[in-house]
Amino acid sequence: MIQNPILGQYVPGDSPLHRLDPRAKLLFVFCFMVVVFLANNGASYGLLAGVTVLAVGLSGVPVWMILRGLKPILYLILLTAILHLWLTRGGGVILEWGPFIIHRNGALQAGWISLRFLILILMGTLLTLTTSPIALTDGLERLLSPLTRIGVPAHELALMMSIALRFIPTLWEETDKIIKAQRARGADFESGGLYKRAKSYLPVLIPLFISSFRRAEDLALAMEARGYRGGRGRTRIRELHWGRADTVSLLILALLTVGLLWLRN
Amino acid sequence: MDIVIQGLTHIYMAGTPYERTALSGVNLKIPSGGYIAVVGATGSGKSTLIQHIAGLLTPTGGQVRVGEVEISPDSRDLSALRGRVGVVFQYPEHQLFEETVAKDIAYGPRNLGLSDKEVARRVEQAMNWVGLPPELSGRSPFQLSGGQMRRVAVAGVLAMQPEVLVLDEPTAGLDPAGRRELLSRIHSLHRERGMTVVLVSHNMEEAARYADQIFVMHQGTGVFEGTPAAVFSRGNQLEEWGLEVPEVAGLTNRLNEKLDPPLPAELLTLEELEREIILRWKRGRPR
Repeated sequence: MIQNPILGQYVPGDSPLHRLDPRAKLLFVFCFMVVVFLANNGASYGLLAGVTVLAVGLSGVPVWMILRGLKPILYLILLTAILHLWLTRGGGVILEWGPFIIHRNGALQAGWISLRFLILILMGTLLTLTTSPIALTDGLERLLSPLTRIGVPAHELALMMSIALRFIPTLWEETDKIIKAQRARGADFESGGLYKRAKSYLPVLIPLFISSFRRAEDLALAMEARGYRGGRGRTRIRELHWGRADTVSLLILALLTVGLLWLRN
Repeated sequence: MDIVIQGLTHIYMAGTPYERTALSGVNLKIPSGGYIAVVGATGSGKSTLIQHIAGLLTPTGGQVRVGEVEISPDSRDLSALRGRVGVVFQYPEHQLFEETVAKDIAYGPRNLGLSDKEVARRVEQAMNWVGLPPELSGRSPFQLSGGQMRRVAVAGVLAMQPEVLVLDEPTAGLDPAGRRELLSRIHSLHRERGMTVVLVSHNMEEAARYADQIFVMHQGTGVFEGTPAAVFSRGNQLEEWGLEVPEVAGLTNRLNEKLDPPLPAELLTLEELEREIILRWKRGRPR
């Protein structure tokens, strides 16, 4: 069983962020991830951090849930920060302790990179926290649809994504069940070296592969039986509506970009 | 190995918004060598309960004692039960993985650290128990029919010679003949070897035919425990618990509307009802 909230697992709600059109959210996050790299000093990073905190507040998702999901990522951030502290030179030494020499630029870099990392991940997480997987794939399909003319299979990509998302919990449950079944047959997944432990998972992985193939076949058959013929001419039960809030969100993004360009040195 | 369950509570994903209470305060005693059927509607907590008996889940509250092994919320190592409690999960054929039938059945005994000779002996014996012909031992389990795969999976559990056998809907997806054969083979192992059996089912007919005790679960708690006859005499209450009255009991009830004196309520199988009706008919004839 999943004991902790996973990073970015959808949390149902009715916040302003939940109500935004998935296309607006996708565009916003995509562009945001690019403009984040414009920031290079305190003021510009401050602006980014402010927008992020505002977005977290607007999402209505409990902060502890976001933080708990972030936990595994924090180690990654810590590691990059340490590497920067240790390896980046220049700007004079501010601390010397045995083989560890910390330069001023290293400390600055470590701080900025960690902050940038955190901002990027928080924004990305907010997207999936406030958008159901179905809305997300719908939005993606619509955004990609102009590209079908140059041969991008937008519908198929979106379908693949939604099927993959749909089957994560199913496969997780299946894995849980098989692990328990093999454990009841005396399987030991905890002891031994890396090789032995990896090998001990074969009795779990093989049945999992087999059942995934069987599931895929069943799904394909069921879709064909219900007349699925791909995306052409398909109408949808949930139409996407572009509202005023969506336009406003993109205006905020534009303002943010201008602000960043003005504040950076 | 007696099984004693006291105040067992289990909460999935406690402390998150997805928190779900699967069991609350379940008490149950299963005597060594008993055959108990756990029945209840989908989501009543049957599967969660049996996973505790097998030491696959640690309780959130209360305790489970299997033989001298005690499992409580702070138990860490549950491996003492491995090999002593065998579990046949739903659709157990989905856990087959080896190249040959014999190797797959040997997986459990091998994990117990038995010698090659003993493992081979147990594989042969287990195949015999479930009615698999010896010539299948070299075949790939994935080439077998669904019913045969099910038997291989059950044999894989039986080869560990557990003292307690837990079966979670073992007959789901089998045809009527396959159902009956599997359960009667397990029943004879229960009789001959004194193996304690815990059968999870929502087929009341099956539960009544083989078990000597029935434990009814409803919304995470035990609501009734008793002999099959006592459970089925509950009539309407069974429906409240999301269970159906077995066909035979239903038929008996309908016949009783016209019969005086009525047929006894403890007729649970078609055979028993048939015998009773023939008996009555013969008794009635001389008049």
